Amino acid sequence: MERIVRVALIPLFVLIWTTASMATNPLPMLLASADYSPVPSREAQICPHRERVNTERIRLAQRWEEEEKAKEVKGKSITGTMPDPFQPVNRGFFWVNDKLYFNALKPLARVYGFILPRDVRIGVRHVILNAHAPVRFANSLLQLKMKKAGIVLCRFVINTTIGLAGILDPASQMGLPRVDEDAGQTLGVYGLKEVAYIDWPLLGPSCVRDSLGTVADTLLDPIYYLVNGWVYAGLYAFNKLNETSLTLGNYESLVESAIDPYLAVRNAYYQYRIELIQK
Amino acid sequence: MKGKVFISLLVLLTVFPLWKVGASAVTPMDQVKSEIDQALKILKNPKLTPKEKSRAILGIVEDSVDWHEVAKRVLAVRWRRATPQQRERFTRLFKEFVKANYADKFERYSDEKIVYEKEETDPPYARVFLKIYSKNQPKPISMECRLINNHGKWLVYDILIEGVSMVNNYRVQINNILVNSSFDDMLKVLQKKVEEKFGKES
Repeated sequence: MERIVRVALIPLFVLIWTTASMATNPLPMLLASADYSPVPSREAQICPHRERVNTERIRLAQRWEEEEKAKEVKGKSITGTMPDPFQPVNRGFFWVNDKLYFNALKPLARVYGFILPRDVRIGVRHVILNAHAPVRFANSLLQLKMKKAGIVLCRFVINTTIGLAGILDPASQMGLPRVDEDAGQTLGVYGLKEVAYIDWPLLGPSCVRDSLGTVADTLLDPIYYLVNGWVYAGLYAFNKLNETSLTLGNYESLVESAIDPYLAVRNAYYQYRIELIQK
Repeated sequence: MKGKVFISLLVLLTVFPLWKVGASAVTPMDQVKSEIDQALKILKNPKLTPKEKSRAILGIVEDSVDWHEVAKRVLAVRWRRATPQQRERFTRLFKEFVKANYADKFERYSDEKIVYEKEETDPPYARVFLKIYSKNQPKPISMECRLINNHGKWLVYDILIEGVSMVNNYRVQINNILVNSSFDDMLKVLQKKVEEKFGKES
């Protein structure tokens, strides 16, 4: 009971943070406002003709954009951006997380990867993924994705038995691909938007919707009720270490190829989640 | 007899060019596949040094991308307002920027298996879907190449990895600079990035 109360405090904290941040920073970054400002510029006050020319130019630009959009191949084309009213705070946490990654997690993952052979680490990954199957099953059901729910169930049965408690992944070879469903996606399927981007310290990129999702997933996870809260957090950290050791270089290549690493990560997260929700 | 030869010649002359067109019409997927195969061949060639490899692959990248279309999409609405010189400078700089960024990224390739899943054509656009199977990644990486037909050749104008469009990602970053600074300042930032990367290499 006490644990549930503790978990319930997180969304409350998010809510307080949202309102507090909105109060101090009421102007969310709006790209469009710089383009199509309805307020007459200083230039317009001095020279109305010039302003007309500018308005005409903007109108043409808008039309061109619409034409381009119409020409675009059918299919997903994301035009929005992640709302980010707490950008200064998030940038601070991004900096902290970036430093933590390069100075703590990465060296640790290197040592860990040096000690354990890759196949063992992949086995560890499989066991952890398999143990979280109930969460994916519940979310597939909540989204009424019956085929996915069936796949999760079959995979769980096959991998737990033939796959030796999940160490191996024979289900993938049988044509049952891994399903990726979480409560953040479930909320997204039912129309909840991101609300605001949050780069949590230690946990990394998320948003209000996906943070609520993470809390819900924790409550849906049977392991959460079987072990002590600290053990659960330890398991999370261990999973993160194991994953990092296998995917070293993913984060680096995203950050290194960016002009503004913070925005690159935020936008990648935004697009990635939209893709997952649409699947 | 003469008439027959004449007619068959006529038929041959009219059909031959058609046949030729049919043969040279490469599908978008073939195009992407041949470029990736070329790149993989270079990567697997033990005779080449890493530097030679990256130079050869960057050559393929340069030829297979429609940089004008990429630049237009990255700038989006700003493209229209930019002068022809600015557009040209941005296109050239952005190409250099992308090449500098990915020059040292090819070495990460190890034991991935590529499966070409499907293609969708909607002239002049096309999309090619692939899956990259890597043991290190938790699941197969889905990749989508968006192409545009430029004078009979399919050229890439965007790549999406797990649904993350590179053009969209750079658009957000570039636009953020443009909100507060001028176009030329943005070009300077890009120029600095390119110089940093090339400085690192040499």
